This record gives sequence, C-alpha cells and structure tokens, in this order.
Amino acid sequence: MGRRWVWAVVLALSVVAVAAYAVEKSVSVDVRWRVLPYQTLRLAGSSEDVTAVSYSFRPASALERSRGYIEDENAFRFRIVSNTPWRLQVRWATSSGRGFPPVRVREHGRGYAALGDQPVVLCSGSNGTFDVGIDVRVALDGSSPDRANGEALLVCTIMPD
Amino acid sequence: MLLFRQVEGVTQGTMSARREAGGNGRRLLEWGVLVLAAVVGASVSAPGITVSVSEFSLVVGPGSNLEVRFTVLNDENSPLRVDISPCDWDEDPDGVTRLSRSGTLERSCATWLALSAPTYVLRPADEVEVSCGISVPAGVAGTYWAGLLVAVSPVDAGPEESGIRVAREFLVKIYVTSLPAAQGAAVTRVTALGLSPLTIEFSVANRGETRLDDVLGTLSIQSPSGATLAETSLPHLSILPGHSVDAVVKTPWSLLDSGMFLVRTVIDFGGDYLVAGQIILRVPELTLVPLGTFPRPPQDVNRDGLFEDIDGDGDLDGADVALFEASLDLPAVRNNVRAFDFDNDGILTTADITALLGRVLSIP
Repeated sequence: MGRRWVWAVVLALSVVAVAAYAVEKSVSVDVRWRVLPYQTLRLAGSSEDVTAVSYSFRPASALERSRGYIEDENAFRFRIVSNTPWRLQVRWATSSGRGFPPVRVREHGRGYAALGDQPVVLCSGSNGTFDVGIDVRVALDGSSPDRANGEALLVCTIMPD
Repeated sequence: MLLFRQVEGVTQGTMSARREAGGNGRRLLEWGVLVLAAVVGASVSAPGITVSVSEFSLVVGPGSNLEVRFTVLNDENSPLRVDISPCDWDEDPDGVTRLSRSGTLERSCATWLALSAPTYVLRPADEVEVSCGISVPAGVAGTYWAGLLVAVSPVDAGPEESGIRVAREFLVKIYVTSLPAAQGAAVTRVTALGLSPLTIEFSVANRGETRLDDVLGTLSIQSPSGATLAETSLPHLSILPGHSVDAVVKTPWSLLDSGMFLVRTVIDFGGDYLVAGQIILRVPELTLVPLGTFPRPPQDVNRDGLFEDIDGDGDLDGADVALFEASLDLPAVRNNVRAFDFDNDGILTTADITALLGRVLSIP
C-alpha cells in the first residue's frame, strides 16, 4: 500500500514537471488583425448591360442643335464598393493621336469638367456602396459630332483617398 | 527583417505575428486568417471587378525582401484582360493623383517591385492571385511609395465605333517605410477665412522622412488673458515626406464681439513632441450706418454675426438683396466686412450677394 502511494506521488510529480516543461516550451503567438482596404468597380451602360461600356455618338435633335450640345444623363453608371475612402479620376487616353473629343463628363447633378490627358477627380466617397451616374455632354460645332473622331478611350481610375 | 506589419492577406488582411516556434502552427494561422478574410470579402462582394487590397503599408528594415499579394476577381459575365504594371504617383496641390512612369519621382519604390506576372485573362467568376516581391535596398531610410496600376479591359472589345469607350483602372498604393528614420512636422500657416462661423485654414508640412499617416490635432481660441474659450478637434491628415497638406476647419462658433483672440492649432504627428501654429485674430468694431434712404442701420436678425436685414426694417426679403447689391462698394459696407461676409470667405464680393439671395430664398 505504501509503495503504491510512493508511485502515485512520483507519477503526480512527473505530470507536474512535464506540464511545467511544456508551458515553458509552448508556442507564444501574438496576432493582430485588421481588414485591409479593398475596392470593387462595376461599370454599366445606361441599359444596365455590364458589357455596354461604350457610348456611341448619335445624331443631334433640332433642340440639341439649337443649344449647341447633346447631353445624355447617366450615360454610364458605376457601382463602387469600398471599405475605405475612395476617389475616381478620369482622363482621356492619349494613344489615338486624333486629339481629344469635344466631350465633357460629370457626376450626375454636378458641374462638368474639361477633360484632357491629365486626370481630374470625377467623384469620391467614404466607405460603403455607391451608385454613380455619369453624364456626357457632346459639344456640337454646327452639326452632329464628327464621326471621323472615331472612338476615344475614357480611362477611369479608382484609388484609395 | 519585417519589423511590424507583415502583409499576407490574399483577400484582405494584415497580420503581425511574433513567434517563438515556427512550423505548422504558423501555416495553420495563416490559413485561418485567409479563410476569415475570404468570408469577410464574400459578405460584401458585388458584381464587378474587385481588387482585394487597395493599399499596402509596410514597415521594414533596410535590405529586406518581402512579398505582398492580392487578388483580382472578375464577377462579371464576360472575360476580361487584366494588365498590371508598377508606376509612380504623387498628388498635385488640388489633391489630384498624378501617375508617372515607374522610377521617375523622388522617393519612388516602383523599381523595387517585381510582379509574378504582368497580364492575366479572367473568365467570368475567375479569380487570380497577384504576387509582388519587394526588395528594399540597404541604406534607405524613411517612406518610399509607388503604385501597381491594374488596368481592366474586355478581351473582345468589338469593332471600333464613333464614340466613347470606358476603361477601368485600379491604383493599388504601396508604401514602404524603412526604419530607423527621422520624423518631423511643422505648422506652416494658420489663416482665418470667415468669422460667422469661425473658419480656419491651416497647413502642415512633413519635415521628416516617414509618411505621417494619422496626424491629429486641436484648434483652440483663447482670450488675451490666455483663457481657452473654445476647442475642437482637427480632421485627421496623412502627409507624405516632403509634402504639405492644407485643411479647412469650420468651427461651430461665431465671433460676435470685437476684440483680440489667439487662434492656435496644435498638431500631434506621432513623434516625440507636438508642433503648433498660432495667429492673433483681431475682430474689428462694427461701425454700421443706415444705407440708402432707410432710417435704421442693418440688423442681425438671428444673432449669427451677419447683418442680413440690410434696410433695417426687421424683415429679410428681396429688398435687402437689392439694397446690398447697390451698396456693395460703399465705405459703409467695405469697412464692415465681417457684418456682410455672407459666404464666409473673409472678403466681400458679388458671391456675398448670391449668398444673401440664397438666405432669402430659403425662407419658407
């Protein structure tokens, strides 16, 4: 009986020693976590077709000819999802060599910006989901837009603000 | 050696881990973080093209080699081509981000970047992980920055038409701060724009080598005896080395009485000390006299410091606007700028007529 108690004590001490050793050699991990900023940009034409990312010049009406420009509100729409403040800048790509088209754009309801190959801020926002309508104004030089202008590339760049 | 922030997020996430034993535990931890990030990302996704990380901020030691990763997801219904290239960027005084060729700007780290691949084609619902190695040269100190320009275009653009085609780009900003490096800042300007309410413009310059990412501060007004009359927090600022930032603070207070006041901005840029800038603001006595043929001088009908009732008849109406427009250049108006500065920019212009008209029209 006495030897059994001795063995029990020795076993208990061994368990404690192993546990203490294990604690001493255990892994210590300090993890800090935060969500990184991310951004989603969805582009739609006025027809809600995701692939319709172009705007074709159309013949001007009599009213448009008299006022000197064609204006199409919400010609494009962006849906922007971001968990950090964002900014959308626009510019013309310079590759065509045909000069910049006589077109101005704006965030729907705001002021038109003159565009060149240098970017301008079209719109910005905080975190969340944003639907942004883009209005297009095509200047008329006494006639419909010059079809010889061809296709101009409007580059829209989204970035953290 | 990565000192503080190690970026491992495929979808989104930063992780800083201090380990006393390596091996499987770390890998398990990383996978756990990635799964959590994927769940978070999935819960907020929307149809479109998604870049999982739009900004990396890395703190490293000189001579470090590290890697950042992010994903590009095509959640649209047509295949897209994705071209990724390093670039430089900076900001002009109007806050517009200008893109430049890689390695052309001071403090650019674009030439430190090495992409796993520059071009991808993503079918609908495809996702690709982009890996970018960063080799920090020895002997650099402070913050260097660049961008990865992610250009998205349709694989099949269709025939060219007469019109506009839209191209999308994402600018993923990368900041690399090599420590140790000096920090410093200065308040370079404090200007009062308007008094009703008090609107202050100030400038803070980054005089150190590191990006100041979370600049805090307070704006206070003190009496000549040093008593603080009011205090408010300043907007958070982020300032790159060698740059300065202008900010405007519109306070909730109007200075109705004449006198001298001390306007002070105190900035905590994260260093070992605070920096401050101050001005003595003199609010002149008003010397209002009747305008035109009216018997009473202009009145401040709502005690906001502005004397909207130009003809002094107790009403705010179109007659006040007409009289103000006719009197704008008279000394009786010009000598009392703060009484008639309706657009609160510190000067009297025709914009103040428009602002007064707006007030009249806003009366129900």
